[in-house]
Amino acid sequence: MANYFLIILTFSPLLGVLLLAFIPKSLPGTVKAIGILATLVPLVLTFMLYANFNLVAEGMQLSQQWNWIRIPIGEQAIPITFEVGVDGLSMPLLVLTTVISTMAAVAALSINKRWKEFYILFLIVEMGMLGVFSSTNLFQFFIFFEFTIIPLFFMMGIWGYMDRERAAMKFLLYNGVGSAIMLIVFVTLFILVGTLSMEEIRQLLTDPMSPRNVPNLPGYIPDSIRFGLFLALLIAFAIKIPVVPFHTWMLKAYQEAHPAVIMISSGVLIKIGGYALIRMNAAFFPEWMNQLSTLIAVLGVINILYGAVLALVQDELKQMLAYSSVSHMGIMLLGLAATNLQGFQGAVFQMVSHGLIAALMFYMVSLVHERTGTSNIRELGGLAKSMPMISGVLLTAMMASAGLPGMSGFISEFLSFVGLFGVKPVIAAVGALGLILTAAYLLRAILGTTFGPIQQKHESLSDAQAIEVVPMVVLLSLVILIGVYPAVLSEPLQTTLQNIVPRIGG
Amino acid sequence: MSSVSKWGNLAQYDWSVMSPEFIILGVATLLSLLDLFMNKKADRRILAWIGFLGIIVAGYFVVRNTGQNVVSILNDMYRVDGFANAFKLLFLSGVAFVFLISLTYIDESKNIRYSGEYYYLILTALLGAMLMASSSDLITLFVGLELLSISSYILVGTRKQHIHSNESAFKYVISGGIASAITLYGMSFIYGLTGSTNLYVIAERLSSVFYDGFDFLVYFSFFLMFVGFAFKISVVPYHMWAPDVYQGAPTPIAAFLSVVSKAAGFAIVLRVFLISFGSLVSFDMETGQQGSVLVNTLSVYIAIVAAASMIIGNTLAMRQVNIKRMMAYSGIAQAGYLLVPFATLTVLMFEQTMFYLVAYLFANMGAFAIIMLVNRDQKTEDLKSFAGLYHRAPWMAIAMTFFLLSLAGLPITAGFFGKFYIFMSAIVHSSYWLAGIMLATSVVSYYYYFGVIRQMYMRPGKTEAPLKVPASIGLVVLIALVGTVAAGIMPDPVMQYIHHKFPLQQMFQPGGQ
Amino acid sequence: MATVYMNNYLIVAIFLFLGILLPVGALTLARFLRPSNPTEEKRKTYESGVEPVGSSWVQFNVKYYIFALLFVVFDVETVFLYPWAVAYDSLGLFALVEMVIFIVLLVIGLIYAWKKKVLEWN
Repeated sequence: MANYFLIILTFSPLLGVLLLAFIPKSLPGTVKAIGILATLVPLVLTFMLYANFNLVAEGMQLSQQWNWIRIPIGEQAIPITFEVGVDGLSMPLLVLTTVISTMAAVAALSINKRWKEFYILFLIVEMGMLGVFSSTNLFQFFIFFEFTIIPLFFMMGIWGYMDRERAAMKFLLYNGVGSAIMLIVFVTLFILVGTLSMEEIRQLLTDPMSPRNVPNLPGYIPDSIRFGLFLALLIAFAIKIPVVPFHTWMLKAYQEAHPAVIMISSGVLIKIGGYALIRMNAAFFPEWMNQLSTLIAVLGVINILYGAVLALVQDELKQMLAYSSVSHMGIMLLGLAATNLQGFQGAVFQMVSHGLIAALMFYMVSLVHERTGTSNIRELGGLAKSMPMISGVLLTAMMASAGLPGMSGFISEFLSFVGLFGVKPVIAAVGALGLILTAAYLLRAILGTTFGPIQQKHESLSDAQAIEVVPMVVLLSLVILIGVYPAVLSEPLQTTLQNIVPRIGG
Repeated sequence: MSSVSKWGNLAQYDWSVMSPEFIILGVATLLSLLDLFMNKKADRRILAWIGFLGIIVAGYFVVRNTGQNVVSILNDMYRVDGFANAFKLLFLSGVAFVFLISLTYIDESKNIRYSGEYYYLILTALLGAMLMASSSDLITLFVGLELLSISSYILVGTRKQHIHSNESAFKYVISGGIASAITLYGMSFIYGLTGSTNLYVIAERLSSVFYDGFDFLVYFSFFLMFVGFAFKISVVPYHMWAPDVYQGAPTPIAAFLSVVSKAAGFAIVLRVFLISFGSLVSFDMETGQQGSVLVNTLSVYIAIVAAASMIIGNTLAMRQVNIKRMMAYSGIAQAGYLLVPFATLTVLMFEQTMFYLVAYLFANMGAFAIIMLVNRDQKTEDLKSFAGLYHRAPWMAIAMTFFLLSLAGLPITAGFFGKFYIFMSAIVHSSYWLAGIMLATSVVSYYYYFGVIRQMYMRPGKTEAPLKVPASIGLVVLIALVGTVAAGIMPDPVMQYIHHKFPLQQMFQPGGQ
Repeated sequence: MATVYMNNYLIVAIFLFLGILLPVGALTLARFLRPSNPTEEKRKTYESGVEPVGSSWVQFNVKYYIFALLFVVFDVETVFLYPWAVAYDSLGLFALVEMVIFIVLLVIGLIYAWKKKVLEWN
């Protein structure tokens, strides 16, 4: 059982897919119930994973590998393995995935057509995300990565608002380019290093005794190639994160897609970019991570300021949240650019924390939108009167996003900036300006929606229903839990990051 | 040895290795006679089933020939080796699919009046393709090529009352004739230089000719032959016929052209160039370095052709509103991908090509079966005829999605691994520019492949009435879907089968006799 | 070797040259030798005196072509039969069987033409 735990976890959403396949379309109630219940299976499994996680063990836990493909070359065959494993970096993200998925499944109750297809695709995306975080092989990582993109294309294109097809196409093409670049790097690494296993690649590329690192030996990989690979990976993941100027697909998607789709996209999917930056860029090419840290920091600052300034002038709440995501991902980049333990911890904290907060905020905005039919600040106002519960949670979420102490956003921003101030004080100081802007645009948004005079037609609107409260409570309590007791996250992270960070030698 | 004197030297050859060809020839003859003496009004579907049976039996004999040693008869005019067997199995399965699709096509549409001819001309085309796979003599190769071509010219024009069909058949004949002329012109140089049409003899003599100051003519004949063959595989610079012909041809014939005819083109390209040019070595006077001409010089041009095909095919496909034209441009791009292994010539060249062809066979045959079904139902070949297909026939839409994903090269389909293997060869060869173009054009292709998916799932159709799926189409789609997905999850058995059962080295062993 | 190869082309060139030179030379020579005295009758299409009637663009019956094609097929057949007959002794019985197959295929072609009413004029 223990051997197959990660495999079972990864493919557990397929159980729901299988069940749903046999339920007739004409029973939407049953379909929805099974859709939500099916997400509980991986949720429970990840909690078991968290509970049994070995906090002090270095390296991968529960790892397992099988031969999958052999590339025949003469009499020999080079294997590509199917391998899974989990460490302190991927474990929190696995938990994040299942939590957000369940919450998004609840949020998806508001879709109005083709529930069966939606939940089937939804569960396939969840499997893809779990697969991405539990893969320890680049090839498998790539395949699961594609598994998140294609179903999401359908989810964006079928359920959403007016211009949803264009949004889906844009999403597909941007991510297609990203994964194409990723594939070039992976195959090149495979040819140069002879394996696709992440751990083996890391050892071969970083061990000073490895022939890949000794000049004049056959198989030596010169710095220029490493630089090219690093840069290509950076671009591939910059599209995913997204880093300005590759962010336009996200704006369109936020505007047009169904809230449940955005919850998983912004809550989990874009974190794959940050995760991979640590897993691949930092682990495979530590020297270039160090040398190019200024570039990453500058990209981060651009993201923070660009996102925050544009968020300040958006009247559309969804667009504001999109730019806010861009801004917050900038903070994650700053943490990575610090190339020290605090910085990396801050980056991972930011991934988890932004995942929870972004999902929560978007969920709240979607509730508002459902009731009022708009998410434009100018058409809203005074909602605290008719729906105090929704307004209150929205306010809290925005405070968390602004980095209020006691909530997860504070910890992650604090760690990221502390990390960066130690090495690049000027850039960190410029980036910190963004925090002020963040507070400004969030306040403007919250004032515009919940306070002030209420419009007449909004007076009689109902507050949140019982089932709608569940995601709010769960997400908010996790945000506060991390804010108050950060050790839940930092303890498992500690050992893994201590393994990666010193190699960069910042 | 009195029997020898009585029966002559020819009887000494092991003619049994030719049994697949004999069976196809026999069945084609039988069908033509049956067709002549059958009642005019009688149902001709029985002919299709007899032909189908013949294909299965021929396939059995090909399988029996696989894994054996090389058998060569008639001074290498006909030979059985791994290369030939692999391609023959591909052709036979492709034609089997075409027959199943045709059953429904001819059954419903009254516009093909000569359905008897239709079936046995497919068989003669198949015979030509099989000869092309199984010969290493320029004359036999050309005879096979022409048998395939002439049969397909007629097949394209079988919708006699249909103006598009007439136009496309005419264009096909004219451009095909020019291509044959160019091919022959190139072959004539080779014959003039080496004095032989046998590929192994050519290989032996070509090097000395090359050094005697005829290097220009050797290159010239290579390019002439390549341009001629480019017609059959529909790559740049001889691709422009494909959209018009596919559009006018009956849909099953378009499927035939896009898979079987194209694969036959690859068979002849690989056979001719690998054997006759493979051992050609150039000698650099200044550095004293030796290098293979094919690897060092010619491969660059092939890579350029491949890249140009990918770019032109994929960008022009985006602008198409007719689904068959779109598939034609997609086919041009796919042929570009298929040239990459030949342009990079890694050790896995043959396995990569075969795997890709198998993936392409499943995806394209499945896609054309569904295209035929939908077009016939909607009476139009517009992309819009796919609107709302998901609500009318969900399984067909899901299957079509997988076929399109496979053509686009996305997991978990056979097409993904096909592209992955090919892509790997480009990187091994350090052709990063080629690899880059390959992936960039793949992303471009998402646009039009997913355009069809958009129609199927996201647009309302004119009707919501369930689409009736005939059994033969259902069977084609099912087999193609299972093949596409199975090879997409577990590519290894297919790859190992190709690697072990069809050893490429056999191709380089001359027959001797 | 290269020169030998090129010499072959020299012969081709000589023949090409001769082929162009002969008619051009003959006609030019004739022009100088003959008297030029055109009359209306001499300019007619048929100097024998038959008057051309109607347009020269008439459609021939398509059967002409099919007949011509059939003729060519069976005509070419004899080209294969002659060398086989000459070398019959050294080829043996197997070649006889092959030739029978060849003729049977041609007969099938004839049957096809017959059944498709190609042999009837109407």
